[in-house]
Amino acid sequence: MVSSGVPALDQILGSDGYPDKSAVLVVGPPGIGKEALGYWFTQTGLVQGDFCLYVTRLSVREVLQDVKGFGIDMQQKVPLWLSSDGGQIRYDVNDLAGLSFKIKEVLKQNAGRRIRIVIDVLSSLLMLNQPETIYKFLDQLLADAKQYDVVLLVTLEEGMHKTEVLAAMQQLFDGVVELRLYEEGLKVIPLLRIRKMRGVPPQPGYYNFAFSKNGMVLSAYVR
Amino acid sequence: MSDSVTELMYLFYVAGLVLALCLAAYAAYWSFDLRRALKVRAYSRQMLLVGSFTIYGVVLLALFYLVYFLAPNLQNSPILGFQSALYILLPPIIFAWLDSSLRVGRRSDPLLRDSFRWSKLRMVLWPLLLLSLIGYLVQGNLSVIGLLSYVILAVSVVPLIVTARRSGDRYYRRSLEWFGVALAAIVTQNIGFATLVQGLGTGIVYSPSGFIWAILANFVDVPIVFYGAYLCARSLVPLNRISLES
Repeated sequence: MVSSGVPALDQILGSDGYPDKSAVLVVGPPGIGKEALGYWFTQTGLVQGDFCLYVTRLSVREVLQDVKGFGIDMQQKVPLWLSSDGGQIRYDVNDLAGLSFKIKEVLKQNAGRRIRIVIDVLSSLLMLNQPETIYKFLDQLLADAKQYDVVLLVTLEEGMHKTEVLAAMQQLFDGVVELRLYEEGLKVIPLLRIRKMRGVPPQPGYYNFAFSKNGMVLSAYVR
Repeated sequence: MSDSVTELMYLFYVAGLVLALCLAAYAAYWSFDLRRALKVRAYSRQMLLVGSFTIYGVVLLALFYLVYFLAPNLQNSPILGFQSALYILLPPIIFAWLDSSLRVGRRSDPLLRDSFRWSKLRMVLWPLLLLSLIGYLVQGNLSVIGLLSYVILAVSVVPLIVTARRSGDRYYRRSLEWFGVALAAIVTQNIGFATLVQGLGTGIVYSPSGFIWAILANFVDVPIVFYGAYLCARSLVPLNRISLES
């Protein structure tokens, strides 16, 4: 098991975090803080000595600003950035084959180590390509990644894609974590839900979540 | 003008004020509630600006009614100066809202395009806008330099439209549509207010055209501004409902 970097989430997932050699999808509307799960996942990996790759659609400078906004310190140890602007490795968001090749190269170079990969470019790829193309791309990438000791965390924007596309994407992953805004009377409540997770019994419950300086705070939601 | 018509006009003003204040309070409430729920700075800033705009609108509106209708004797007091100073803040507040919308929009463009190099253009437009306002304050009337702020606002709408077309987020686009409605209502409301204020001095507000403008400005336009702001905030992100089965 690989720690998510959020102790409360690890506890919900059975105390140890995400399953080994798994791919987890984090779905939610823009601005809710999905990326923060990726930041904590990466930071914990760096502290534990795992190899961390962060594939981002934003510039590295923008990601670091976001990271700082969540009170996460990524100054001492940094992941390998795969970005279109400012990373150690550059990629073109229009070049799917190039992106896939670069990720696989990194995997080969770090075979034998535990690897954590965060990908926050899936929504952009889905907007620029046919869903079928991305489905095949992801299917192949996840199959290749599972030959190594890898845990992948992929974020996907809600509200930018059709419901059936979101549903199809979810099928590919071992786990799906949903962060959503719910309207209850005159209140907007951000809730987290584990839609599915390999090796973890189905969890119908929702969890209130909030971000603090110490990380993400989760508590069972009671209507 | 007969007393009954004057009373009817006041009734419209008060009804318009109450409706606008209720909508503004509702818009501000939703904006700040959504701001609390959104964690990414660009999005929470957007909500903060919508909320701030509605609060600013309430204060401006309340002062207007206070000075021109409820206590006309205050027209010679510093309150009038304060109200005028507040009114000058309208262009920078709208520009901040527009600027923030553009920055949110860029994040939802799959290619992260910086429309019209907005990240650099804003560095030029902000000082220009502030300079034009200082010029307006110094000169004390809406001269060419004061009008510059409105030209800047009009120019900035172009990158916003381009960004909206490039964005892949349908919620963002819907939010911008409501922003556009609020903006259009602000423009027509300004024209209406100008007629109204001018009319209070000359008496033409009691002419049929002045009467129509006054009603449009107060009873129809102002509520539309705040309703647009409310929907602009609410439609930026999808809101779900928990089903009973869940």
